[in-house]
Amino acid sequence: MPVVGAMLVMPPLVLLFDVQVDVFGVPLIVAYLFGTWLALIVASFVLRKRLPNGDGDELQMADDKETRS
Amino acid sequence: MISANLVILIAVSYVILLFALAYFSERWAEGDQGKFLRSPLIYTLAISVYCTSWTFYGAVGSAARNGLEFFAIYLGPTLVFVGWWFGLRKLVRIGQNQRITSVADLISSRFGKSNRLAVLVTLIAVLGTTPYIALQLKAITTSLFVISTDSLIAAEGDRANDNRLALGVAAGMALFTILFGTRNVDAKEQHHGVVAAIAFEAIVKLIALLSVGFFVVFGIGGGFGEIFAKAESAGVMLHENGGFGTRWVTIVVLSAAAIICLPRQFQVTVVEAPNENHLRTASWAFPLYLLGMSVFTLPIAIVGLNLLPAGSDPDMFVLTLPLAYNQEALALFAFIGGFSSATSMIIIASIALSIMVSNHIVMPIALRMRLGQSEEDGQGVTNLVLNSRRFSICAVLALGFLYFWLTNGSGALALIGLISFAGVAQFLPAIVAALYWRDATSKGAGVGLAAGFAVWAYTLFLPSFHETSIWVADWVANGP
Repeated sequence: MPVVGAMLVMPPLVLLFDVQVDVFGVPLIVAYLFGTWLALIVASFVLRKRLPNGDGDELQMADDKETRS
Repeated sequence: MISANLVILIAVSYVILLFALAYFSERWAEGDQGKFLRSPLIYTLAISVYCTSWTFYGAVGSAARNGLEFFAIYLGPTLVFVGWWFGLRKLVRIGQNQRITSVADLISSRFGKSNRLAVLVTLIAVLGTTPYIALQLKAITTSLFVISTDSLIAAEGDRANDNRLALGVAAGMALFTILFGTRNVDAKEQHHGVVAAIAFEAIVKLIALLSVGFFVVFGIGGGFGEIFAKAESAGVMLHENGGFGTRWVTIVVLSAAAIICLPRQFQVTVVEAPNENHLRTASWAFPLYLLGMSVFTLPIAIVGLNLLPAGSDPDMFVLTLPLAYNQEALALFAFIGGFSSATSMIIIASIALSIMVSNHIVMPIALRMRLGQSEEDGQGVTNLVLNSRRFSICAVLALGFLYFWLTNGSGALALIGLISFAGVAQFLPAIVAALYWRDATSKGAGVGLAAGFAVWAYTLFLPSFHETSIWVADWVANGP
């Protein structure tokens, strides 16, 4: 999820929304950034109880480390 | 117009209120009601100490100058918290199991209890936080100046007066922090009273900013749509601005690093964590808090640029907009909000730094010097620890004031803050290595930190003095 989130707010994807379009009077890019933000929060809220305890997420960890560096 | 004395009186009584709150919650923490103080809600609110006066005042200024850039500062931490289950949880778990007390403690203990490494980390942390504390002092003095003189134009003001005020604020904060941060020595370094006060301040600053936002958007701006329609004429480019280049990526990464590496974030997130499962709540509530803090940032910036006379300081729009429309009570509330966001940062940062300085610099020296003497009871050591902490808190705040004084309080808030972010981001590789890389050596971590610190000091910290020191300005322009 953080990987997807990071991809969404980083170029080149974010550049797609940096155009002359308005959504209900709000520039698309502003709406997009807030929308992504809110979506991440909602996803996190939904997942908060589902995730297991423990360190059994080694695979995902390796994944995430790559995207962060 | 509100008189300066009244504003100062209100600020002082606010601090006294905080003090009472911290005092009573310290008592409650021992009893049954303590459960609430250790709840995920309080934990999340305490983490929002991330939102300092940089967020409160500086974000609007940064939106007015650089458009969407302020988003990046909150998206970084959001990504880190949304992905709590891989990095943060491990950090908090290690912190709890090994009773980690600070970033320096974490890095040194994961690399074979190397004290040299701890000293290096402490030095970087202290120097890296100095501009940040100076930023809070600047925000408090500027906002006090604006609200008491009613001047919309960013005037130079009375420098001597400003310095005296900043010194007063620093001294007051030192007193408060000493009274609460160093009442006793706890092996886990948790301060329930202070955390409760910080959580209260988090609520105050959120409500203050939201009410200013509501007033600006619906009171004078005429709704979101109308405001954004005026964005172009105000000079805030929201369409095809191409602001998503390297600077955007850098700030997202820096802020993501800062939410872990800043000594005060480490203190509230890892050291003060009552339970690692609280992260489950914080993972969505903290990003939501950040979102709430920044919903109105752009509208306030646009309205401010449109309606206030040219030359107004965009960093102070949150205050000057209500003032310009004679909403003195609202302006006063905004001032309190900004004041609380600044004080919460100063308090937690100086506590976190004082723990590092006393544990890793003062104590080893003191123990070495007293090697011959035998200490019969623990009381002597406890007093030594407490006194070294009190001394470190004063030293940290004095450094912050010195930086404020030497840089003449120049530069935009966001600019000063980014210097700090870059400084503490040097810890990130070492922390990641400490968590995941078994074979990393303490020498490698030390060299990495030292090299990063040297580059930061030369390219960011030193040039920040260029406005006040001819020598530095010459150095920046012409090289050594």
